[in-house]
Amino acid sequence: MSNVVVQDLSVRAGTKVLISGVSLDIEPGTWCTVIGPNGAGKTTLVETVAGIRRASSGTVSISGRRLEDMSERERARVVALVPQHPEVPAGMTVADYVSLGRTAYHGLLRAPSAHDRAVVDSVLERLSLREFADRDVITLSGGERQRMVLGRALAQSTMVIVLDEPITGLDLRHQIELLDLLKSEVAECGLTVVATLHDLTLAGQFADRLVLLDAGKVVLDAPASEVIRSDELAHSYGMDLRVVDVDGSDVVVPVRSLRH
Amino acid sequence: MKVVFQDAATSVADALSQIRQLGRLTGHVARADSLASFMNTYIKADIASVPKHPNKKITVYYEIGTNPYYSLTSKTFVGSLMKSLGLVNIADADSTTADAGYPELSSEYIVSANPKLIFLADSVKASSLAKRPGFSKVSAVANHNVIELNADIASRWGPRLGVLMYQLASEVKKVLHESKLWK
Amino acid sequence: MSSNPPTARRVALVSALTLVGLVAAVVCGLAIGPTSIATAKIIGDVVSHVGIGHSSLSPLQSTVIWQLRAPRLVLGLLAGAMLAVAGGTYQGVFRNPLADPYLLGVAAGAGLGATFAIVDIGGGLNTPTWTPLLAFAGAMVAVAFTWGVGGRGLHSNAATLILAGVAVSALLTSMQTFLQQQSSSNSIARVYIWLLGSLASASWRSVWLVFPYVILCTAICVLSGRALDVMSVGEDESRSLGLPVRRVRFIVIAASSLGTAAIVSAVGLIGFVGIIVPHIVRLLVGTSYRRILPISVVFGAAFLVFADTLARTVMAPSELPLGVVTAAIGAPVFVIILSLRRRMVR
Repeated sequence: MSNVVVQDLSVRAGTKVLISGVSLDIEPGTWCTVIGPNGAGKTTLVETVAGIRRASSGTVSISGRRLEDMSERERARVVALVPQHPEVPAGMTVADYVSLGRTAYHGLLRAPSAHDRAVVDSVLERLSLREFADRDVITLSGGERQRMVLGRALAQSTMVIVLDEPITGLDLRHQIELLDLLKSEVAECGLTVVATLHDLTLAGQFADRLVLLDAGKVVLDAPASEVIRSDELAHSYGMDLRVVDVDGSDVVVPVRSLRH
Repeated sequence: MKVVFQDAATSVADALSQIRQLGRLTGHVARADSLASFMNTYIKADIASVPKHPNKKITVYYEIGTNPYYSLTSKTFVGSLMKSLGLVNIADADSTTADAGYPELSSEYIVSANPKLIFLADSVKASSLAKRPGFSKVSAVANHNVIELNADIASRWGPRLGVLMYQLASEVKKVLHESKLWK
Repeated sequence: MSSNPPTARRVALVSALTLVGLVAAVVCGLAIGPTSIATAKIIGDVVSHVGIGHSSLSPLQSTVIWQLRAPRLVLGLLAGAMLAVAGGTYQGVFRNPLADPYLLGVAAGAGLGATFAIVDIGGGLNTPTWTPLLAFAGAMVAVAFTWGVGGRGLHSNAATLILAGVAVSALLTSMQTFLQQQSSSNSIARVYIWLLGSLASASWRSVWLVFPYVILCTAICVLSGRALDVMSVGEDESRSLGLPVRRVRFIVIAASSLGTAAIVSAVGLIGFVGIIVPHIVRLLVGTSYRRILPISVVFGAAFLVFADTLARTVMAPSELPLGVVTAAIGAPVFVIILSLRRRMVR
């Protein structure tokens, strides 16, 4: 099983500190969502965990191996990323796009193997993408497109999947649909999820654990319900938040602040 | 100040009358006239020294530039000299009015025309011609009838015109003597 | 034009037609020229070389075909294939539809090298040996310089490389112009003839000189198709998919630049092939570089031989510079492609 360990991680861009001293230990099979206001360093943190951004100091390791010791190809078999603003390469079919997830397995000079194709097939099936398989990626709606990007990440067959704001731009129904889909994949395959989400209610409902990030530092790292109800949360966002219980689920409601 | 313009001569007669004109204008009438008639005599003698060869077509390629190849036709001054010696200029058939007697020739055209005699007036070494693609099969190259001309003498129609004419004539005679080249 | 990616049948059809075009181009290249030689005789001669029948060509005709037209044809095929595949590769690696093989300074560097030889600064450089050699060296130095300036840093990406290429090209072009200004009018004319590109001086020697580079570099470019398809999702994403972006970029740029430099040194600057051929192919078979690159090799080879046939015949007996012909065909075709693309995308 794959646990994700982040040790004393700092990332700087020039002289600007994006995140500093972040340490996390994420158990295998856990869904961990990073929350925090804009500019807190959420994207920086998850991109570093996904290995596409270099740590200035500190380390990220998965299953005991440090990312920096892995080749690009090895890393892509360990951790997959659903980026915040995925590129949509016009002219590519949905099936070909999802197949990109198999790059690390078949390499750059060989065609996908029968096994690679079987994996892609199964992903298309599970994510109800089969009917779009031969369509041009740019013809998909926002929800379909996001499902396709998730499909590419799942096709990487990694135990850790990193998602950066995967539901941005989707309507409510599609937001829930996508997260439900992910949840069932996680349950079925025992995936470890590291995600960022802006919607605190959904963050609380879908994660086992929330990490509250503010100004590049971890403010709180605890089970979801605990973080949702903490004073730190309201403080980080600089506004009043109420948590309402609706049929056993926590709903976070912002209150127009009276403090100026 | 009086400015006199002399156009490029296109024949021996032209060149000689220009020499006479220069003599008149500079007050050396007698000397110019005697130079002109002296040159005329020698050129005529050169022309006469070449045996008539009505059944032997001596084709000639006269190169004035490479990359691309440039030549000249019988309408030009030097061309008229070669013509007076009975040579057949390969450039004549490939010239248009646009090139004013100085056509660009492709290497394929030159090779297929298969000239028996080649004059080089562009400071190119005769030995380098065999290295040009296809040229080694050209009659003039295969039989070593490629002649380097002094570029200074070859491009002017002054008093040393006789020197050029003598050289052209002796080469033609040499080729004629190797008549085994013709069937 | 449908918005769906082309079917396998369409790709097969386009490939077949492109091959037919190549065969037609080869026939044109051998059969058309200032001397008229019957096509049937030429085919008979070609066949006789394989041991079937007898050739009815005269020795001189045979020389014209095998020493003049054939090397010119082969050099045209190599140049067209290399420039087209290098252009397609550059467009993929830079994810920029305007990228062409001259983007990183190959043209400016080769131009400077060739001018250096033609103007004959050192004395004795203005020979058929030194001009291509210096052009090749100039091209490689220019690309290495561009890479040194824009390609090595930790945060370097396609954009910094392109900018470095623009800067290096501008610098080298200004040096080339200066050299040219200092020289005689005769040299200036020769520099221009070189800059406009021509296959007129093709020989078997020049073919064998560029052959190994072109074969190796074309092979690398074609094989990079899958990597370039991955890169179509951008550098960060392709890295997350397991693509060693930096290494791939280095290899692919090195191969396409080396092959282009070899070709440019032999035939001068022939523009537009590297831009329009991959674009036409893309329009026909879709955006996957696994299809664009191999078909561009064949398409580019055929295209350049046709263009050269035009260059040899429209103004006969004299020849048009090949670069003028490719630009004259290329520019309007490019405009048509742009308008078609605009109509296709939404």
